[in-house]
Amino acid sequence: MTFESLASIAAVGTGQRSTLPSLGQLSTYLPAADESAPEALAYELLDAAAALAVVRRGTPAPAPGDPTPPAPADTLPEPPVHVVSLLGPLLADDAGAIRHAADRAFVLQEALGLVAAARMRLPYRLLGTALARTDLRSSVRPVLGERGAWLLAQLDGNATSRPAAQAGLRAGQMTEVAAGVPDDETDVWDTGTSEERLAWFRRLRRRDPERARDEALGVWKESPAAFRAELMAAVADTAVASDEPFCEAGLDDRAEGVRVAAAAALSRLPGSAFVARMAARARASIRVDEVDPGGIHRLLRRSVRTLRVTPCDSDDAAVRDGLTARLSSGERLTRLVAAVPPGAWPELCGATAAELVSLQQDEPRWDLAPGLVTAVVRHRDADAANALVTAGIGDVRLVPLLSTEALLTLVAKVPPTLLGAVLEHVPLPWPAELATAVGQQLIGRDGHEVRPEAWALFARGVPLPVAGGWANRLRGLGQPDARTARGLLRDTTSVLTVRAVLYDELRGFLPPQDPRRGGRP
Amino acid sequence: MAERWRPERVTALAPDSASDVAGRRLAIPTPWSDVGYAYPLLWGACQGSGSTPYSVAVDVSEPSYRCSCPSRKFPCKHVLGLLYLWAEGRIDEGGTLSRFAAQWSATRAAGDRTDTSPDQPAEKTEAQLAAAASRAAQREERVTAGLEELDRWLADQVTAGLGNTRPGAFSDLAARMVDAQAPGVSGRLRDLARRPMAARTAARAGGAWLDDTLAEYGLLHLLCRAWTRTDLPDVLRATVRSHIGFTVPKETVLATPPVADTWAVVGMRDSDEEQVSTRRVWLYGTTTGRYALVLFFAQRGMPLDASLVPGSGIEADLHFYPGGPPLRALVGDTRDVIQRVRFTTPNRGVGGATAAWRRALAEDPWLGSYPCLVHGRARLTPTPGLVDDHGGSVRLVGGSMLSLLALTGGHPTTVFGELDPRGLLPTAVLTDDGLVVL
Repeated sequence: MTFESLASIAAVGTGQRSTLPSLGQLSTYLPAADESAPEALAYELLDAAAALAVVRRGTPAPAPGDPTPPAPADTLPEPPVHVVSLLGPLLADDAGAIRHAADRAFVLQEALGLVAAARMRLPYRLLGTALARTDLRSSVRPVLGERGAWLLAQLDGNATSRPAAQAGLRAGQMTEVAAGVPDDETDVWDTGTSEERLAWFRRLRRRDPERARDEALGVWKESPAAFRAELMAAVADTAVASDEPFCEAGLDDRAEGVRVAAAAALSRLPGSAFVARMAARARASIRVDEVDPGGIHRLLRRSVRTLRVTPCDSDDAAVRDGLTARLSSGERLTRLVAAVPPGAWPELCGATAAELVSLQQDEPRWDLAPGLVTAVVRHRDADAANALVTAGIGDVRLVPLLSTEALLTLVAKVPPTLLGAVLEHVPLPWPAELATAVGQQLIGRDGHEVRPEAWALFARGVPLPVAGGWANRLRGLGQPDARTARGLLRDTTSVLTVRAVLYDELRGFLPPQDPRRGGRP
Repeated sequence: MAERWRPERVTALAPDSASDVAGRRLAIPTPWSDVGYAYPLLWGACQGSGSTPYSVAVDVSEPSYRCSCPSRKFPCKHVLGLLYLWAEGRIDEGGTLSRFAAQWSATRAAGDRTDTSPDQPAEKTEAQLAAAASRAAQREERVTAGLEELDRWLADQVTAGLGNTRPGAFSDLAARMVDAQAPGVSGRLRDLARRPMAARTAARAGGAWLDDTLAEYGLLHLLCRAWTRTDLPDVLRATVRSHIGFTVPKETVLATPPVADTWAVVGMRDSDEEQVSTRRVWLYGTTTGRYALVLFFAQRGMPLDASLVPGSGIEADLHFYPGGPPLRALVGDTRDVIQRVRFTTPNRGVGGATAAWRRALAEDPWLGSYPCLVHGRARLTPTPGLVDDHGGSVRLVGGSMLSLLALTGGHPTTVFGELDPRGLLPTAVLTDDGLVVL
């Protein structure tokens, strides 16, 4: 009689039977059953179950399988003790010294980068926590050391120990696995969900645009409109000259989403027929005239340049290129201007993109800025972006293209309530000059008008070498009366302090060529 | 000057995880001023949400602490924050003793001089002793009646079939066992009630739920039978009484012969049940090779005793509760505390640990788990486990597996843990740097 057979009887109930199967030798250890009792069988079963349960519990579960080779010895050192004490709570996502999860995530990524740059590895006691977080795999990989790589190999289900460098080569693949599926897995393209297929397509598009486009063409006819629009949008983001016929055909698609994305893609190709057509329309619609305004200008023998805008018509050709009659004149103008490369304007009308937004206009005034900004961003024209900001255009889309000088101009002009929206687009780390300008705004007279996100961005954007200085400066401000201000000040100071401690501890180990190693300004 | 604490010791002091998190948040220099340390006093002022900073003082020798904040948590986040700062080496010896710390220290010194020994039990009158005896007899009657009811219920369930178990039946019965003053039995029934309903339904045709439930029914039935036996040896009778939920007065335990050793803290686990927090601390006698389990209880939200710090050792007398195998103990006279204890262990494999577990089960069939040490190599694949030099293996269970793997790298190491039918729940590992509690 086994425990399992007793359990089968118990599941149905002893009420269904008159006897139990023989308990064999076990019965000699059990009390004699009182057969006159109505529940005699049940008690007999419970006695046997107790005995067999103890026997069963006496054998802990084994772990069968071949032995795994141990981890190779590590050569990289551990970070200094203060860095380890800060990394622990950050890896465990404990609030620790930093209150907000987003701040912790940022500081952790920066800290892991510093540790990697200092050619150090995580201490063994933090490896378990680090590898338990699958979201951190790619960022912890460079600091795993041999032990961590060995552990990761086991986590991947591969018991073969591999050197850390070899495991490191798989970092890219791992990221792709985490994001979805590897590029060479065409099954996903054939059988995946729309989301998986698009993710696959976007990745392939970045790596091999021609092959990706061919794959899109292969499924184009049977794909629904929404999916075609997504594919065309992905092509637009990474448009190359050879995409022109595909995108030109997209202008005739029955789905409006596809047509709009195709126009956007073509406008990124300066040599395309689409851009030539739009440039011709722009030449006809936008003109800069030298006029004699009379008065003081005549005495000074100075003419005034005036912008004259004639909205283009919606003929069939214009409709095909996206300038439909359903759009207002202003919207058509924006689409037209957005399709013209910013550098083409002097040749088209004798004025630069920045001059177009500053020139005098007769009523009604047409706003060319939205279209110009779109074009500047599409063509990543940094010079035009800087010039537009100097001309007074404060569109946040320009921010990633701006020089430090232009950024400072923008930050000085933008109202305090919009400062966060601008800073959100500034790549990290900020130039020290920008940190100074923003910091002065935050602690200045209008600081109370700045939205909270600007404080958080400041805490992350301040370059490492000056983080400690800013932390001290904020600490020296004392405690504001308003509760919100106190919280903002405390959180910002905390983030800056932790970043500064990490930097101070690791700075001496950074390689000479690391820009973060530089002296304190 | 005493050794600086490790951050783990501060963590152990926190009354709950929320306080610990809040304390860690304060473990940066930003909000602190006027900090200083002169053994055994640590002090500082923490700027909170009010205009006046909170004054904090800690006596690290005991530890005891005082903060001027209104928090009901004890110790509060300010105390924990200050201790973290100190433990992480951010506060060096020196600084001007704050007025708050000086006053607190003086008050405590005065209190110590006038303190009477609270541990001395008051002499009881004859009437009180008679009333206590009457209450004890009444309780035994209730337990007898309760266990008779339980045994009948078990037989009814087995007669009708476990597949027909009514949802909520365990909870109802657990409540009746509380009325019968058998809290240990009630706890076992509550554990059964926690098994998810989906598992019960799926198990009608067999499976783990059925096996585990029948096993627990069998053990409960065995407990009922054992309670009715008058011929049990004293040790086994004490074991049975402890599983039913009878407690033994501390004075009685402390009157038992002490076992002196340097006891290493090889595991610590906190859990919350309703309104009570429990801390289980596993000790290993570095000379005797004995194990001990020290339990601490506190009202939920209140701090648990933090005198036993994971990874440390105490040179102390332990007094074991009656019952077999002797495991639960009280700490008696403590002569020394060793921050990082170092010791060697016998090279024991899986077979030795399993044999000890079986011996323990023979003495106490209701035992949930048993401490052990196993010298072996940890691995994650194909099955998480610990493999000894002779090829014997045991499955690793619990959440500290990755940490164990990371600390040992698959090299042979001594692992402490709790052995139970599921496998080994690792609690600590002996590394080159000493004992590390997982």
